[in-house]
Amino acid sequence: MRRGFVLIAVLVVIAAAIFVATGAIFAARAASVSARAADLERRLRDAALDGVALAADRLAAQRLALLQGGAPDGEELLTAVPDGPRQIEVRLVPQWDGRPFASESAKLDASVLDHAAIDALVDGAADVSRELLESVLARRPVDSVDALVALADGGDAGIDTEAALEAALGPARLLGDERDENDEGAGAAGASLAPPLIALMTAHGAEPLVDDLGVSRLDLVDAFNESAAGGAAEASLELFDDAEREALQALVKDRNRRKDDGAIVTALVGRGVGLGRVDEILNECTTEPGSHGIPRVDIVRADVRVLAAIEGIGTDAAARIVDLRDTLEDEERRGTSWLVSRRVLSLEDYAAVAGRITHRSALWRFRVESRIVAADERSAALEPEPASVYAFDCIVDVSRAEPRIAYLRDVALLPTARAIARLMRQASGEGERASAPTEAETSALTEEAVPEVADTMFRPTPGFRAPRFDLPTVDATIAAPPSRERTAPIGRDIAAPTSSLPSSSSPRR
Amino acid sequence: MNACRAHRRRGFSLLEAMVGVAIAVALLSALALFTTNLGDTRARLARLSREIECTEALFTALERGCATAVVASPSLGSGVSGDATTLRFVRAAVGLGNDGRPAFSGESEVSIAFDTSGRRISIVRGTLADTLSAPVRRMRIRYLAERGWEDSFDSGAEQSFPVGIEVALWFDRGEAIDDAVRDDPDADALPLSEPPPDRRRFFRCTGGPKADPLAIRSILDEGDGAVSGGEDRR
Repeated sequence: MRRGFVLIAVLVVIAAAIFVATGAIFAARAASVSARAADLERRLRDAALDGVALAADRLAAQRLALLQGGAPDGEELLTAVPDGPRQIEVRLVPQWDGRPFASESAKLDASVLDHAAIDALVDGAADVSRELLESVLARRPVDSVDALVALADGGDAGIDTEAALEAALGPARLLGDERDENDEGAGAAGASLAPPLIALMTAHGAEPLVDDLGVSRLDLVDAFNESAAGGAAEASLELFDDAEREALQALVKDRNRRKDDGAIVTALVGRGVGLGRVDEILNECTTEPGSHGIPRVDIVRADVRVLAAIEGIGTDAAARIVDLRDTLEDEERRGTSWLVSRRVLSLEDYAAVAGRITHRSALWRFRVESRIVAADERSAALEPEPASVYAFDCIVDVSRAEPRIAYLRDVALLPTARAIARLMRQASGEGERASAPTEAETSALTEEAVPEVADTMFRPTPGFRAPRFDLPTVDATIAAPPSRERTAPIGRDIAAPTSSLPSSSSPRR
Repeated sequence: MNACRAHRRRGFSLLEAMVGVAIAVALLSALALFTTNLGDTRARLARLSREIECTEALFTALERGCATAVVASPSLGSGVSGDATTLRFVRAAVGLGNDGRPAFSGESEVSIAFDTSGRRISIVRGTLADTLSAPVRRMRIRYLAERGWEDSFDSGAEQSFPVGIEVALWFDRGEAIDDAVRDDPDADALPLSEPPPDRRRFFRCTGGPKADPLAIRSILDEGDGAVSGGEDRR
């Protein structure tokens, strides 16, 4: 009897000790995993930022080729950083068209968006795309179009956030495992699927006023005015022959004429100047002041929907441009006048759109993603690291000698935000049949809905309120800029789009 | 037989008893010392761990802010603004919708502030505030602009980023620790009122004015007297 009691007491003590030890081990393990995950995130973020700098340098190295109408090339893999038995790979993520870099000039700028353009852009797309574009139209000016979903008025209207996200970003813009699951969407070039809105619209379409060598274009208005006043601009005008100079001077002096690239085309062609020479002059001259001009669309790379959205081109001409642009000679690629010589547009129609189109892009978008991978087969067999990926969306402007990071956005939380949105949508569905989900329901929902991010995702508490998409609206009326008002680029390092910029009226040569 | 019983009842000799007592005292003393040291070590480890965690949280917020800040946001104001004890970033990042901003929003707001009365650093993300647990005696934030060190900066007013931001921390470890710092031969050259910071780091702003790294290091050396360059110091 007494022995049995002692034996049971000993067993209880041993069991309690095992229980305490196990708890301590798990607590220590959890702390260790948490610390490792935080450290890994920091390393991945540093690597991704290095990748942004490397990608910007790669674009800068190809600057002249880009300014002459080329497209950036290079491997997707930017760098691989050894990390113990594994390595951190930093890659460029393919854009919607499957290429690592996407031209921002191949998209329609949000500042010129109107209802007709929306009709063209959403051709073949889901209805939610139209809602998103209408919300952008109502909230201009916008700094970026990456947050399209946040701009949508979906709080009370019950917009499907998942569908909005897909329409805005597309599967190619998701991250990591989510993207892998939807890889058939990436690189499909939109053959059968409508491209996401981020592939069709931008807030960074302002045209850098530099020529194909990166030199500031000659401001014709300032040059002729200075020349008339005996200024130093006389030398700059020597690049024109007499007929060209007379035509351009008449244009500049006529206060009643709108002064843009179209007016230059009309003035020069009216004096018998050839289209090839017109391309050269458009490349080197402008009637707009400042470093950037009104947004233009790169007709060599733009989607047919974007081309159709340009006022004055239309659906038929857009389709013909897409058919012809792969057959152009090198000489034709140096300008946009092939629209006339290839009989896509009449001269009058071309003059009407010449100020809104271009043949090149100086702003390129890319996404840099860093993730940890096995360096070899041996390290592949090791215990896996916490699944994680870090990514930045970036737009680099190479119109200046030093590449300018016009846009840089941390998108590492995109999967988490998506998971929360999905959770909230499901929770709101639950709320229709009950006043509010219980904590147990919410927990179950969390685990069921987003198992892939269950370790890191934000878990709503009972007091948590679902996010509402109810940004205050701003005046939707955007006045057309007067011909001599400066157009400033938009970027993370440029605070005020209407700020004064240095004049480019100094002599070119 | 009686002699044998008498021998069994005799017990320990005085010598044996004294040796036993001495051994017991020694063991108890060792145990007390060990327990005391263990407690001190645990307290020190806990304090260091807390300091490291708080510093990492602070530095992570600063790294993220400096990497993706904007000069100014139409809705949220200046992207980098602050003074010697407060700092506010508006950065481009995917919003989760739990900070008072819409989900998937393009920008988020992060504020860092040092409460001198409470001796704590707080990090506020939108409407969510975290107060770091480690007590801090002092925090100093400086901004390296193109014209040199500044005690305050506003990117919206300047229309540009600073070259970088330096944050220095002096943890509140009580008098004993401060005395230990003053006893440090490396700190002899410093005035007693300004011991070297426990942690210090310089954060470059992505897209800030271009600056030669060697020039930055030189400026850092000048700005902090005997304290070595832009390295993090524990």
